[in-house]
Amino acid sequence: MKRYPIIVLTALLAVACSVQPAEQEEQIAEPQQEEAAASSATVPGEMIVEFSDDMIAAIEKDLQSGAFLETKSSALNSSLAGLGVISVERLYSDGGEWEPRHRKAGLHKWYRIKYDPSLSHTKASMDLDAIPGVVYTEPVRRIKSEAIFNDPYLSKQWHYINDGTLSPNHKKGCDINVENVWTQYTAGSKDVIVAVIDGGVDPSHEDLGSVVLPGGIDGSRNFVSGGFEIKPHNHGTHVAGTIGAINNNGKGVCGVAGGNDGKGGVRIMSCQVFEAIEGSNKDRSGNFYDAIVWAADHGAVIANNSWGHVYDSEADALAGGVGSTKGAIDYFIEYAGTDKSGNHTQTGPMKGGLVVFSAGNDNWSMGWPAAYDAVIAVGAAAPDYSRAYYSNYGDWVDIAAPGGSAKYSNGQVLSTFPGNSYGNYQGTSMACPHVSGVAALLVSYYGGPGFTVDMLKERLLGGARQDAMSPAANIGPLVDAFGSFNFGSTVPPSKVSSHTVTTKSNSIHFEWKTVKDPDDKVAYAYMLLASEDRSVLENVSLSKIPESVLYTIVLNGDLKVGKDISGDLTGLGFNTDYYTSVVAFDYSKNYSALSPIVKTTTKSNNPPVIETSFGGSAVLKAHESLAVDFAVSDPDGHDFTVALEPGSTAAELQQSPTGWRVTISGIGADPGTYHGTLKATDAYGASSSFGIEYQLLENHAPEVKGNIENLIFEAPGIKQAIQMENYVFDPDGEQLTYTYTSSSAGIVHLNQVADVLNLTTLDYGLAYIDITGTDFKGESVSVELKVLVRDPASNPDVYPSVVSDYLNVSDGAQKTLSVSLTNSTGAVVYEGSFVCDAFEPARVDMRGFAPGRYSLVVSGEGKTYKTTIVKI
Amino acid sequence: MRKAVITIIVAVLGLAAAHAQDASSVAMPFAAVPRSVRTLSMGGTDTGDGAAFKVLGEQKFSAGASWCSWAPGATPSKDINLDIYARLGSRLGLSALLASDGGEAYTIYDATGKAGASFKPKDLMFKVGLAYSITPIISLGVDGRILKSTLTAKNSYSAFSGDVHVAAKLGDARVVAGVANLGASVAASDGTAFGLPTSARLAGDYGLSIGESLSLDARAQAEWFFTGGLRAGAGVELGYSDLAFVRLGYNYGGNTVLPSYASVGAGVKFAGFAIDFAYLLGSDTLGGSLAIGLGYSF
Repeated sequence: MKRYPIIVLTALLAVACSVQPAEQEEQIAEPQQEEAAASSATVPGEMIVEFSDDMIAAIEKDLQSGAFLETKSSALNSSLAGLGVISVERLYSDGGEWEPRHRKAGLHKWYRIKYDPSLSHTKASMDLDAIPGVVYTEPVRRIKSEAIFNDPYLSKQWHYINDGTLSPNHKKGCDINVENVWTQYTAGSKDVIVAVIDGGVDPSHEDLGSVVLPGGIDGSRNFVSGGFEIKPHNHGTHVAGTIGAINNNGKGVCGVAGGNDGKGGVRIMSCQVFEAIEGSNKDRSGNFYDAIVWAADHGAVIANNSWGHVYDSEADALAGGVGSTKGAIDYFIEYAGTDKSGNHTQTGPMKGGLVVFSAGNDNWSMGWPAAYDAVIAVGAAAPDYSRAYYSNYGDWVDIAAPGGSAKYSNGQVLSTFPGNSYGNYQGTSMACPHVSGVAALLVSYYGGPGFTVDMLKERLLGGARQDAMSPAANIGPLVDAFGSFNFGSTVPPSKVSSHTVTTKSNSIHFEWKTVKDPDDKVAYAYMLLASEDRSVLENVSLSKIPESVLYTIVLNGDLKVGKDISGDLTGLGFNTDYYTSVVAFDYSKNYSALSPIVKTTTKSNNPPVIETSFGGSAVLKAHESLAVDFAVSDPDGHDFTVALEPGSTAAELQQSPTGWRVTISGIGADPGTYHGTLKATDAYGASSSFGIEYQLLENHAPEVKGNIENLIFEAPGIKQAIQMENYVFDPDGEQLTYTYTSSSAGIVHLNQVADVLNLTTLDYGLAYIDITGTDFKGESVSVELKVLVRDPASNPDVYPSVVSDYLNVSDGAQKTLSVSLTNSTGAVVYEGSFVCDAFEPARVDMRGFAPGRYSLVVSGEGKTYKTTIVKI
Repeated sequence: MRKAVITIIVAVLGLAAAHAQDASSVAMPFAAVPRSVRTLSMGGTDTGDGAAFKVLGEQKFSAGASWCSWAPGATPSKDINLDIYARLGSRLGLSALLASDGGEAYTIYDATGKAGASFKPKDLMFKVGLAYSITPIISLGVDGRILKSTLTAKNSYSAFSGDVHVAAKLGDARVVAGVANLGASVAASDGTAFGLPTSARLAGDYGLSIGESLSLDARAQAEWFFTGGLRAGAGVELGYSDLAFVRLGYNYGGNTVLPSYASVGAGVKFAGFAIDFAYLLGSDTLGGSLAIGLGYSF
């Protein structure tokens, strides 16, 4: 067997932990306010509304007159009457001297409207949204207190409170179940000192400073370089943060035993046995033996040891042992918390010390010194109740705790890093301080004269959740802080003295007051029971409830004794007599007696209710579409489904923010009349329907609008806007999509803005603009618009001057022109006269003319114009 | 002989009156324009300037240059002509002519009427001729002609044509007949083919002396174009001591490529050098045309 000294533990630490400084590599979000489920998250019969400036002026005038529901804001008043409004009041109170500023910020426009609570929010929201002047509506959400502590990163510390939301792999409840301990018992006492035998704990960290014992003769000490100067170390600071980071200080993370007043809980004694070697990523080690003994001699009653011996192989580890470390461990266990003389007289909060060791990160079946019977060996759990992939395992592992896993998103353990930073680590090194922290909580609460380490171990291990970890984990039960505090409880909570019931369809609503638990302060939970047979209920065995007794469990949460609490038992028979009772029980499943039995009768089932402002029929042109909103609710609160028999492919059903929406597209099916049906069916088969009749009209293609008036401009630089709808229109009244093409960009510049074509003349000449209108269905029509830019004093237009077929001759207005052509030898080869206008030039067919140059003479109305052209 | 010539002239004029020609369909019409100032002033009777005609005469060499302002009221062009003739031995005569017609610049308007750059079209003709006196009174002449018309920077047309003439000397009269501008057609941009001003010609010349100082030269020419149409011209020249000359003429063109006009002219000649002048009138299109020529011959 090859055995290595403890000195080389540095390597183990380097392998065990993957460093991810939170501020550099992992963004940590601020905690989000908890969103309650839709059905229970809002207050029935209350809506918050923002009004427009006009409406608010009318409302305020009404309010001042004391006749809000009768006068000025009539549109609002009629709707409010329909809602059965109880009150209308400002959401933000009058600000007094600050009111001008409040109004400038628009706070005066927000109101809270209370109405008939039997109306659904969707119905109320739809009615209010339909009122002109209502800008915004939202249901009043119930307010739940923020997370138990205000530390911003607590929501990322799944290892304390795992709600299963940080990743798809996180499983709710896979944590140390500490929340109820914090609220009902303790969050840590400064009388308890936990020694962190590890790298130095940063005493200046904002989330640790005051809980780290200063270096000195009665406090922290450096066992590497000697003396009392603690040199901050990532690993040690991270471990210490898990145990004692200050809770409720509005900064960073929480510690398991970090107190609840922002000043810290248990105190940390940093016994530095690792120290970083400057310029390298390695550590040098110190005297572990002295460190553990020092902790025992100076007030620590719990020693957290997130380190272990290093072996070359699993076989070597199996052959290993606690070795020389045994002496220091035994010393701590025997003498911590006792007098200096060795008489075992208790001086601390606990007689004897608890030594906690990490099991190791080799994925082996053995690890030392953790396997030493006298210590608590801690294995690492992933966020899903499985053993972390690296954790050592075996029967020698006493208890499991969250050690995290980098294989899961947000799956590592979040704690403190030196320099006021935070980051994630994984490893049994991280699991170990969770157990130490829970132990520290137990000592904080139960510690005192007569409290021994054996009593602590019994609670710590006995309260752990035996069946929580996956069967293959083999790292012991999962540490359970609340379970440890309730461990050994044998006295059940007080009996619920009375309860009241109301029924709604096949549900029974129970109301009662929370009750005391003599040994656990307050009942852990309540069981709501109902049976059709009174005698069965009276004789029910709560550890094995028969099928004829229906029940549900309601947790007490953080309610104090005597507070109102309620719950619902659903899924019962309709129109059935039930006998009901409530039983309180503690975490150890000690049940109280039944509360006095109350008889009630459930009601019949009601089908879902479909509400809409739609009249039931519609006529749609091809380019039109219709969105019909439906509010569907079940008066019994049952689940329901909504389906649409569309009648054609034109109708579709979608869920919308306020309910359901049926969209009908005018182009979605062939023209014709169709019938659709919206049907809502509850979980018990009761249904209601709403008929939708719609007619789809035939599409008509766009058409050219009457006679087209071409445009004449007298000079370049003239602008004119052309409404394209004046040239092409849709007989169905549809807004067409317009496009254009131009024959000559050099004569006119065109810029289209929606259906307006902005024209600017650039040069003299004739341009042809094709305007095309296209409808929703893709059918289109085009029209040619001629644009002539011509100086009225100019000579007749003769173009082209290089003729290949026809020669155009015009003179800007309708007139008769004579035309003659003479060839290069002087022969008159053509003579004729024409009637032409600006856009209908005379056309001389020159296709029969031989190539050559010709003289053209145009005359008319006293003017003669002569020019040369060529025929090619 | 005199009777025969008069008969020919009358016959040609009569035939011309009975025909019409569509001049618009004739390509390279400038090939039919008379280039000699003297014959221009004598009703366009240019057949007498041909080598076949000259080789039956006494002249051994001639060279000349002329400038012409053509059709200034219709399709103006500035024409420059250079010609040369030389007899080699007693029977062979050679001739060459270079003619350049510079048309008036025009502005290019595109199909939308938008104005662009301007361009100056140009026609060019280069002709060489060979004549051979088969006998002292009969000769045969052939000409080859290269024609080019440049209408735009991208559109120019070229063609080749040839002439064949037979001339006979009958005392003081000479008669020549032949075919001119016989060549391939020219294709327009759309592929349509247009024929050259190919024609069949018949011309006569008669000279006589009146006393010791005066001389009279009368000419007539008829030309039937293959594309249809007939033109005929006649002219006279009255000379004094072979030093000064006045000329008159008339060309009947109908609607052929060379329209009708009347012509007057004058010339002086000394020691082989001659200066000639021609002016056209009596035509809406060619009236005002003016030609001046300088020549040397012996």
